[in-house]
Amino acid sequence: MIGGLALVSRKQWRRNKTRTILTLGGIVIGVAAYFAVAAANVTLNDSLRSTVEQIAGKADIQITSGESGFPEELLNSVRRTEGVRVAEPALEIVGTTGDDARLLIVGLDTTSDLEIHKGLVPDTNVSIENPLAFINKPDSIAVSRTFAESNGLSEGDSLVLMTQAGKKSFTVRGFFKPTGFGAVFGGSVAVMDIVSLQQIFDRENSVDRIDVLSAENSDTDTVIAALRKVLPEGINVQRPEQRGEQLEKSVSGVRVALGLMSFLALVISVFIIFNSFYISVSQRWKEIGILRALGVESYKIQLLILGEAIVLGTLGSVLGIAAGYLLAIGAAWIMSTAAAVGYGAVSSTGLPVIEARSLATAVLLGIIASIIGAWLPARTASAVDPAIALRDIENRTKEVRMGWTRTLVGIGMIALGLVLTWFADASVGTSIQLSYWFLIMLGMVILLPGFIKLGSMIMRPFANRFLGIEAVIAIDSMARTPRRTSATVGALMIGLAFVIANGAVIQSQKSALSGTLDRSVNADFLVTNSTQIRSQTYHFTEDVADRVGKVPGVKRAEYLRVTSLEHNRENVALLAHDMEGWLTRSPNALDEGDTSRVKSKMSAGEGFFVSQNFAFRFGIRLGDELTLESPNGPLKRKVLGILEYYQSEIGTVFIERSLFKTYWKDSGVDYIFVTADRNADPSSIKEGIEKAVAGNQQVFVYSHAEYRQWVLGLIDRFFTLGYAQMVIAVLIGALSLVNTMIISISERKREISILRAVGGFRGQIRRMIVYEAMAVSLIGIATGLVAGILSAYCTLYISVVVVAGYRLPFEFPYMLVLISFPVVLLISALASIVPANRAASLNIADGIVYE
Amino acid sequence: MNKQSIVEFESVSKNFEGAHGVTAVRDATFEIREGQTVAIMGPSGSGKSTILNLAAGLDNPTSGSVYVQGRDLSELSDNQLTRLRRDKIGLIFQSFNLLNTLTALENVSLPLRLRGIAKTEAEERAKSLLDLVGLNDRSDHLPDEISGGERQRVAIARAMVAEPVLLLADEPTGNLDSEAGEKVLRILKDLNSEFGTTVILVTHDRSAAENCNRVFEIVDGIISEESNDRRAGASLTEAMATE
Ligand SMILES: Nc1ncnc2c1ncn2[C@@H]1O[C@H](COP(=O)(O)OP(=O)(O)O)[C@@H](O)[C@H]1O
Ligand SMILES: [Mg+2]
Repeated sequence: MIGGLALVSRKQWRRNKTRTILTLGGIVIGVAAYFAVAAANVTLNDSLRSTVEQIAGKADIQITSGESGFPEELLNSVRRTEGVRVAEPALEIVGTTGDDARLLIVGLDTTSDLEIHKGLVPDTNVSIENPLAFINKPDSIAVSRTFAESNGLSEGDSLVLMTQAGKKSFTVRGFFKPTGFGAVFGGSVAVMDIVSLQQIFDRENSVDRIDVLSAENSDTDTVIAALRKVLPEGINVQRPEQRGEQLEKSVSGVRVALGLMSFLALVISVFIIFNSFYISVSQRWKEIGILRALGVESYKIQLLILGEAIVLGTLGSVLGIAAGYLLAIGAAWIMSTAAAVGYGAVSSTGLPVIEARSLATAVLLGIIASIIGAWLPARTASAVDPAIALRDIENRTKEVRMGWTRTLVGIGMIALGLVLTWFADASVGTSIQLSYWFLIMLGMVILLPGFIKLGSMIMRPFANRFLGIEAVIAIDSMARTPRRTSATVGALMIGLAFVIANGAVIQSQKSALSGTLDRSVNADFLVTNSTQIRSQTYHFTEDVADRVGKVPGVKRAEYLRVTSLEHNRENVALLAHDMEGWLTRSPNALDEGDTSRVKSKMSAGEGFFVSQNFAFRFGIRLGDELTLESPNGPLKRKVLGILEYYQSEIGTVFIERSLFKTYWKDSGVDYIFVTADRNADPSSIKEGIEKAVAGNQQVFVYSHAEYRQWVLGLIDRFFTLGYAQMVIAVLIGALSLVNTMIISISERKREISILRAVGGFRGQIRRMIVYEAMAVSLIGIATGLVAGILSAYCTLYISVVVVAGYRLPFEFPYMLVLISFPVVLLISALASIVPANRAASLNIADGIVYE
Repeated sequence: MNKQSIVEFESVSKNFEGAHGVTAVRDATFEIREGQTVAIMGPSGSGKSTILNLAAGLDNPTSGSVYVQGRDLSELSDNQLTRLRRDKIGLIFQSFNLLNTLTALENVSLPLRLRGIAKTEAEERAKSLLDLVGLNDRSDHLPDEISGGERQRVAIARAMVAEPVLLLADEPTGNLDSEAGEKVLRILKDLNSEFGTTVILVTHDRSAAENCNRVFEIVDGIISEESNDRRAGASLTEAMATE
């Protein structure tokens, strides 16, 4: 019996190739979007982790401290600690070639046997023609073969790099084949002797890291504990994996965005699949009636349809994975670009990593989504009274009734979702937060038939009066098949909701940031030496910075050092300001605390400011004591001010620069805020600053307006991914629309043929289909707006408050909405051209004969 | 009085391609003149609907020519053909073929609305036709809210609303009980006598056929006209028409 039914299925598929292909297409798109994102996620993860692991080499323990490095003397204490077999220092400097290519220079103790760093410079892969010269001449550098090739370097060539300490010249005296970590950096690595590197960069006796290999018979955790006891506070002793975790945390915003995106792809995919199966079953009403009349039990018909769902779902998943892999190559690129722009993290452009788990999830999701999509129509179809199906094909559709129960359930779900989101604690986790959002969307979907009815009631008289009968028929055919329409409207609605929510987050970030820029970064000029928003490697030295203050027309130059610090095991931003200058320039900088009253205390280094998110995360209130761990011991001060600041997703601490210099032994300068004399000429000041610094370091001089634009531009670049998501969301919605329209054309052959038979022109049929697409998308837009506002609220709350710790003002993305609505209408109209032409060229006689 | 030719088939054949190629109409030649009522009879699958579809320009002949009011349909563009159908031809089907989403009134006014006639004017005219078929109290009902006979009367009103010269009815009584069927046939006859509309009626009902001026018989795609001798007791209508 089942064999016989399978034959029926196969015949169906062959006879309705287009429908089968479209159903399959829906599954493929959904699975592909999901898989691409999953693969890209895994790839980014792996590359971050392997970066960290490879940097560590074979080390099982890493000792680090903020960004400023720590004294080399600690090496002795480390080596003396029990359980430590080998301990090697490392220093890392980033340089830029004339072509703006980055090169990471790792300083190692080349006199040791480099046991820990075999991963970077394996014996077999190194070629140093003249080892004596390499060791004796301090400008010796070994570069990777990849880098040598792309920069045309051979033995003895000189290599000039722009570094944080200005232009430096090196001589290439060795090559190695990049493996492991060298390959992770795309081959842009070089190795030098650590002593030479320290000299060149004025980092004598300072190292960035000590890599430790513990003795074979000792337990790593015990060694870590012993090291922590020996070393001063503020020095981190960790397994290399933990550093990876921190890096991962720093891209968690991107992750949540991607997670949401794949979730969205799945939800829409369920809609598309649901749609296709629903219509497929409607078209087979009569066939199912015959099967029922022949005595096939209703559960067997359900099995038949579910069997089809499984076969199509499996096939679609497999194809979707293939398509997703191609997409993933693109997504990985976008993500690593975003990560590099936002965090200065290292990117890999290698092929996406495929994980067995995401493969399995993709296949499973494809099949499960198909089954969900097929379940409802399967149940309905098998419940058909065979007599009715056979007698009167025109009476087959059961209307979805928008009763009170349904309305109440829908509204109730939305309300519950909102309440849960509102009262939920950050600790419940992202997936639970997501489920609240899902609850709200589900409520919206349940209300869709009501929205559709309402929409058609509003549009019908308008269409009747102004657009002609073809528009009326279009609206009617939309309204009389609420289930089919709901599926399409639902796909559009969720896509648009996503676009609006995404836009609201971006807009809110931008507006919050722009507020901060105006309040706190309000100098006439801002001088930096990097185009990275959070550079870890470029700073001005103090004497270079001092030249800026001497440029004619400059009234005051304040320095800011931006670095990071470990606080309660979280990586927070540390901003060392010239407090006197800053607070004079920005009297309204604080949200809590009185600037004029605390100015002198802050300038004397007697207090800290913290950002709102720092206060929120660590439970700090104005006037509380706060202890920071500096490389030179704990530093305890009162919190004298709290302000909204978006430097770090974890939190930001502000301290007086002279205090920072004392405790961190770091006199670097990342930003110079320049206040100009009242009647000075801006362009001559700019030129003067550029001239003063030029030749030593790169310098970028921004006016306040330029800086604003630059920072907001960085946000835009960072949100490239967000914009990509929006495009995908709209495209998937449009695709679903085309899908439904084409399927519904074959379902409506008869109706279209009647119209043609009683004198409807091809053009009128075409218009009817386009009108219908537009009516559907208008309702999609209206509901998308409602769902979008709800989603924006959830997204802002979930991803921003929970992940980033910011409280952002709610900003409605009016522009985006204004732009996206006509775009969606246009896309729908364009998308309906293919189905419209199909409808217009149907053979009339065939359609009339059709049932 | 030599009436104008309305429909003329000249050696028309129609083949359907496919796994089991079928010749639905074989070398049909006949002419139907203005004001005539013509019945086409024949077993199921013999080609009756195909003949009507060809006459309405809903389908193209494989060979031969179909003329409507002297115009060769194969020489008309799709838009010209649509216009001809819209202005000259009314179609009635066995399965009513009303649009389920439109009310009776909207269904009847559909051809006028498709011509661009304003809603109020179109519906006024549609109302008078619903009156004519005795359904003025059903105008706001959807097709599935009225009986089969009423639906077919709505279909007739729709076919007549644009005042066509030719009415093609494909088994209009096939889905109706005999009482409803008789009502429908009476309306068709009245239309013919009142407005002079040419009616081509496909039917299985011998007595309905007897009421027509001419009767065609079609078997396996071959069409032939029954001679007047066979039709003993020709109706009064026919006597009047052939005088
Ligand atoms: N679109 C079509 N494709 C293939 N064969 C067709 C098509 N339409 C009609 N036929 C065939 O043509 C023959 C005549 O059909 P039709 O004119 O509908 O018969 P009738 O109306 O007399 O019952 C039948 O054998 C039928 O199967
Ligand atoms: Mg027929």
